[in-house]
Amino acid sequence: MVKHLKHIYLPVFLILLVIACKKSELTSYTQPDMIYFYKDHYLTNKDSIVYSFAVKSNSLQADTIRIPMRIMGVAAGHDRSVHIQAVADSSTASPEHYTILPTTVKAGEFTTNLSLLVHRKADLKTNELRLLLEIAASEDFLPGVYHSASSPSMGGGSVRFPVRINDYLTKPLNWDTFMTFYFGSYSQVKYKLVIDVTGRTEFPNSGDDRLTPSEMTYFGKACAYYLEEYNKTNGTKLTDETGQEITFPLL
Amino acid sequence: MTKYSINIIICTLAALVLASCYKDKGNYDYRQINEVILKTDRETINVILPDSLKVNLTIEQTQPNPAGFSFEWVLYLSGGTPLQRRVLDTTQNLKARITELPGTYYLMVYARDRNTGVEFQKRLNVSVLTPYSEGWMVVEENNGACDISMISPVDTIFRNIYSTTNSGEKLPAGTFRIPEIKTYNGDQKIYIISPADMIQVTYADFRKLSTFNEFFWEPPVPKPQEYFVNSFDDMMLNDGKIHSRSLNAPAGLNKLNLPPSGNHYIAPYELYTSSTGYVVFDTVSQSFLKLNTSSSSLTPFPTPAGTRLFYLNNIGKKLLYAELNANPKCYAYFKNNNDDSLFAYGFNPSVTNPDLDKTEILNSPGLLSAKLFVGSRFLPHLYYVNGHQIYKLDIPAKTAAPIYTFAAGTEIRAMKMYRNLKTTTDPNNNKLIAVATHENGEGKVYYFPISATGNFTNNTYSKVFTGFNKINEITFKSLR
Repeated sequence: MVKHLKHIYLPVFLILLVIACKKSELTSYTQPDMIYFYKDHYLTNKDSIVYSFAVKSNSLQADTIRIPMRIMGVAAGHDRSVHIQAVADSSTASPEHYTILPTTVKAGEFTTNLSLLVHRKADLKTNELRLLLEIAASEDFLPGVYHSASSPSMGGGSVRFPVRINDYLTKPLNWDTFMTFYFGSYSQVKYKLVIDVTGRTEFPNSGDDRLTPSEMTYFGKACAYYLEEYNKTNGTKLTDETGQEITFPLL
Repeated sequence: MTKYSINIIICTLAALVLASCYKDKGNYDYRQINEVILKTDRETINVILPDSLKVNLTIEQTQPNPAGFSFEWVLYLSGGTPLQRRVLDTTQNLKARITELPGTYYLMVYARDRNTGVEFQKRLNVSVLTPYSEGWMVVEENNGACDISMISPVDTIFRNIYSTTNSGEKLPAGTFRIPEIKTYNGDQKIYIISPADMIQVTYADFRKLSTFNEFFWEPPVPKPQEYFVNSFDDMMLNDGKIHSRSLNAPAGLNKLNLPPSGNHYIAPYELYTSSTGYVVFDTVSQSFLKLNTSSSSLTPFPTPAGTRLFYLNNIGKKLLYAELNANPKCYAYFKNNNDDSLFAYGFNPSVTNPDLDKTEILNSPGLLSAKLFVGSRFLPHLYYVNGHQIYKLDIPAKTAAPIYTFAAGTEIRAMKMYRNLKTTTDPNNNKLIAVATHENGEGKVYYFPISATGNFTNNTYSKVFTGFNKINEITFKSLR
């Protein structure tokens, strides 16, 4: 047996050597075409969106939210449709609050945006409604990445995306991680003051329209000066919805 | 495994072992290499723009070959990040027009032996200069407008350089300040302050870059006084209010911010140490405060334990002048609130107990009403101007005396210490005072070298430059 083994090992070894030297061809994507909600790590609302009509004009009755999406696979030579649906048992918003607009991936494109039309209804003044969007299978795409967290070097993805809709001031998602350094602790009254003084409702610290520390310092100080003048003029300290005196850290 | 196989393996291994011991006879085909030395007719080069750069290269070699060499001359910005390179020429003798901004560069010549492929190189230092790269900037006023002249290190005077660059536009009447010119991150900033405006100009040719409102997120009513630049901390003083910014920030818009809150009126004197940052004197509370340029906020000094010579957070006197002495020691000069006593306080703002010395100045003629001050960076001395005389105050001796007297009627318009921020080994660095005067309708600039005792060398000036209009300000511009 041992004598025969060496006659087997040697040819096998030589064959392996030859195979090892063979140039490997690039493999192509062989999975079905899929699509997912794309999470840009540096965007504050990458995991969910809170949309508040309270920071919009009073005359605005509907608005469109755009949620970025990316495909898995190669671009096609024709437009392809994406099927988005609401997850009924995880949503409190009813169809009168929203319209999921048709979403297509254009020919030759790898990305698109889901357009969600939200409607301003009276009940949003007192209730925040939740809408869980989900990618469903369509003729062109299967649901893609079920859940992948983003990182500084790589975006993430998911097939579900939560949206919250209301018509009262909502604490911005980056208040505790960014805005607090310039405006202090959150309250609805303070946020309203910040909007009145700065003319802004969003203070992004990432993305193309991010604000610099210098500009945020200016906003923080402008609010502090406004409050100082307000308190002096009114002879009383401005308080928030819980009765706490409003203050700003930058003086 | 059979005995036969084992024998084959042992023999093979033995052969390999023996082969490794085989003596290397070393009978290779050695060749002498071509030893090459690159020689240039210039080693350190100054190019004054606009000009071209010419360098002749000779090659000394032991084995000349008809194939010859290929050449490449490359100019690199010294210390530039990211590394910037420009190929100037590919012939043996360099001849190229220099279009780089003023600064310090190094020039590499690479010569590749076409026969062997071996490359040789040589490095030369190049300073790209303009006529305005270095020298005393002189702000002159004439017919209700101002312009800038410059006295170069070789005593050439360039006149009206601001209006020449800016299509004849002049500076406003009363232009009174060009703050000390610092370089940060490769950029040299020049600010020019007039009673109701402040502009920034390019360091290369004084082209106007920006006007007052562009500096601020929310511009105040313009009444600019000073603009201090230290490391990444910018501090501007407008009508006693501080507007600051920190350049230690991500890329993006970075403007001067709103002033710190509170009822302050800050004295226009610069005290900055790397560990504490700016220390300012509030004339309202008569106390020193620390400035945070990022948050544009002021913080009082804590009260040290025990009995101290004085407390920075409670001086209780009027400030005459303050300046850094031997870093980090600062000197501040006060008069009491009755304007009848003078004091010099020495302190280090970076330590728990900042007070170092407190001197009541007994005999200091003219100090109470002095208008120009320059502090020594080596000795406990203060130079000040009263009338047509320059005085030296010796703090430990508690006395002051005139060390130079101009002719009666001379108006001393400006006085600055020579500080070469690029070449700190310059023997005159911090040891020469420039003084601008107005005498019989003519502006003059004098150089007074300072001796080891703190007096002027030989009790007089070393150079004088004449022919200026009425001088409002002089500021030394170091090389970038």
